[in-house]
Amino acid sequence: MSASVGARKLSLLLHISSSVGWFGAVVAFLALAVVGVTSQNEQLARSAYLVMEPVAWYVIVPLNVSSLVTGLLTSMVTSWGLRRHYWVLAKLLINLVATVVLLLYMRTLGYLADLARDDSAAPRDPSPVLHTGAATVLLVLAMVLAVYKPRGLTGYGQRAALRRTGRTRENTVDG
Amino acid sequence: MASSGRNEGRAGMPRWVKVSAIAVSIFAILLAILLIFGGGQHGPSRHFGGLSGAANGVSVR
Repeated sequence: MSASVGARKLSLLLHISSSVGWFGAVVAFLALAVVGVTSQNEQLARSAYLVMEPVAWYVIVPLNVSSLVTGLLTSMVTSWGLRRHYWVLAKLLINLVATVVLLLYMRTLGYLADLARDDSAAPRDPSPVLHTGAATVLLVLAMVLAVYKPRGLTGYGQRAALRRTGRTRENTVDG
Repeated sequence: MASSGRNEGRAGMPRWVKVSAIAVSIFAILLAILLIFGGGQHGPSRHFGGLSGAANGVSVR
């Protein structure tokens, strides 16, 4: 897909903004999860579990979906493509896994919020720490891939590169 | 991300992809073993339904 420089930069801007925002929100969520498990202040720990659900629904899920959609868009409007480079595929895989686990995990967060709302004691469940810690690691890996862009063309990418080279040679000979 | 202008010739799968694939496979196997032999207190099934206090390791009053 050919796109103007402006469109490419806009899609990249949206992708970086949503991805970095997503990462920041996950790190903030990790702090909440740790407070929920470790705080000696019962009211503060309960509040952490109550806040986790709306933060996830209104901040993390939208940023996650936005990162996925803008990432797909960016891959389509730039020369990197979606299937040509292993690092792009790896980032897509990370994003898809994180999205599926997050959406499935929302039910657990709702359940923990209900417990915190109904009980006088905080749930003290370490599961949000585990999940958010894993998400943080995955997002750091995605950032490393995006910045370093390790070499490696997929089979599809190699064939596309060969076709491009062939066309360039034909044009050179014809010209 | 403006250009992929690299001189990447025809080659097999790069080493970093192979190493990552092996690492992910080992992690998936360990996770499966944990889910099967670890009492099943954590796993995707927990997110689908049937959430109970006992399954979450949470005391419900």
